Amino acid sequence: MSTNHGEKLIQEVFDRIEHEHIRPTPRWRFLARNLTLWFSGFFSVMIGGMAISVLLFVVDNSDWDLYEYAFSGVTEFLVVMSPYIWLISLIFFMCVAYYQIKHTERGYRYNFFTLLSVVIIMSGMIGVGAYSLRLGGEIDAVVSEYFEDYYGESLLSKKQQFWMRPRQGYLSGEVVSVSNNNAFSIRDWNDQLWDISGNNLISLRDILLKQSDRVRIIGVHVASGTFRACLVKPWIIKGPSGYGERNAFELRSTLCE
Amino acid sequence: MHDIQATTTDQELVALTLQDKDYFAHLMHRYRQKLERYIRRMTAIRPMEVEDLLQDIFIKTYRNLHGFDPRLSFSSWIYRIAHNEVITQYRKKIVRPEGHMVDVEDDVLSNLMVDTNIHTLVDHSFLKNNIATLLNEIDVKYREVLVLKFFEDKDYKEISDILKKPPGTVATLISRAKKQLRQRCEEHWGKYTLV
Repeated sequence: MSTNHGEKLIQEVFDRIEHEHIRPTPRWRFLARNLTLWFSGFFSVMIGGMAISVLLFVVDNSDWDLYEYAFSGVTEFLVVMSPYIWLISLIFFMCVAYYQIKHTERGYRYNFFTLLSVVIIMSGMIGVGAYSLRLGGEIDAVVSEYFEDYYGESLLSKKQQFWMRPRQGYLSGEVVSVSNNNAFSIRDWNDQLWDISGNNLISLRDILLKQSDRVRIIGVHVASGTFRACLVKPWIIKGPSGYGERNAFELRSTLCE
Repeated sequence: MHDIQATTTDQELVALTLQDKDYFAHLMHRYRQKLERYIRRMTAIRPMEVEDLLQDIFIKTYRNLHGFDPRLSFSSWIYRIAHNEVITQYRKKIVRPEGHMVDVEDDVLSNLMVDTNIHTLVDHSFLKNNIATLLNEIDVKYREVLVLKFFEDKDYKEISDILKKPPGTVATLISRAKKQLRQRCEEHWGKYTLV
C-alpha cells in the first residue's frame, strides 16, 4: 500500500468515525467489566469454600466407625453416603472461578495449573476456616431448610432417620437413667422411652454411661419400648455447637457377633 | 507532524488522542504498514480487503482506547486487536487462513532456517521462494506464533500479550511450530534441493 493509499485509508477511518459517531468507550465500562470478573471470581471461590466446609462436615459425621454394620463394604458406604450435590457444586464453582479470573486483564498470564491451584487453595482455606468456625453444619441446615425440594434433608435429619430404625436394629437417643452398663433407659428423638438391656456389654475404655449421654445403639428390637444392645457408641455431631459433644465411651458385646 | 512522530511515545499519543482525535492519525501512520504486512502474512486476501480489515482494526482501536492498559506496550495491544480481527475473519469464512510472505528480509529468513534446522534440508533462495507455501502447510496456531516471532520480530512476552496466552504456552507453541515446520519441509522437499 503506497503512501497515498495510506493517507486515503487514514482519511477513510476519520470519515467513518465522524459518520458513525464513533467515540471511545468510556473508561468506567472497562473498569466495571474487570471488577465484575474479579468479584464474580471471588464470589465463586467463596461458594466453593462453603461447599468444602459442608463436605468436611458431612465426611466428619458419616459414621465411618460403624459403616461395616450398615453396608456391605467401603464401596457401598461411599456410594450411598457421598454428598454428590456438594461435590458437583464444588467442581462447578471451581470452574466458574477459574474462567472468571482467567478472563481478567492479566489473568491470561497464568497457566492452567497455576490458576486452578490458586483457586483450589483459596477455596480450601476458606472451607477449612468456615468448618473450624462450625459453619459447615449451619450451611447444610440452612440450605436444607430453604431448598428442601432440590437438596433434600440436612445431614442431621438423615442421620437421625438412619439411627431411628429400631426394627432394623438401629436406635439412638438420650440416656435418661442408668442402672449399669447393661441396663439403662433412653428417650429417642421422637420422645419414646426405651429400656435397653445389654448382653454382657463391656466398656472398652472404662467409661461408664451416665444420664444425659447421647447414644447410638446397634442391637435387636425385642418389643415396643424394649431393645437389646450389642454396641453402644456416642451420638456425635462434630463441628457446629449445640448438637452434642465428643464422648469417648464405647460398649460392646462379643455375644452379639 | 514529523516532530510529533519522532518525539512522542505511543502511550503519549494515546493520551493526546483521547483529548483530540486528530492525534490518532499519528498512531495510524506508525502502525499502518506493519499491520498491513501482518494481515497479508496471515491471510490470502486482496488489497482492497486488506484495506477494509485495516480500517476495522483502527476503528476498533479507537473505540477501545480507554481500555488500553499502559502496563502493556501499545504495539502488543494493537497487534492483539489485529490478531483478533484476523481470527474473526477466518471464522466468518471470509478469508482462508493462508498467507503470503511479503518483504521477507534475508537475515529473518536465515534466522528461521537455523532456528528450525531447515538449513540442512533446503537452501536459502529456495526457501525464500517457497516460504509462504511452507507456512501455509502448518497449523494456524503454529503459523501465528512463527509469524509474530520471526517476521514481526516479537519477543515471548509480547507474543504472550498479543495472543493472551501464558508465556510458557507461547514457548511450547513455538517449539512445536518449529518442529512441524521442519516436518512439512521434509515431507514436501526432503533434501533434494541442496546442492
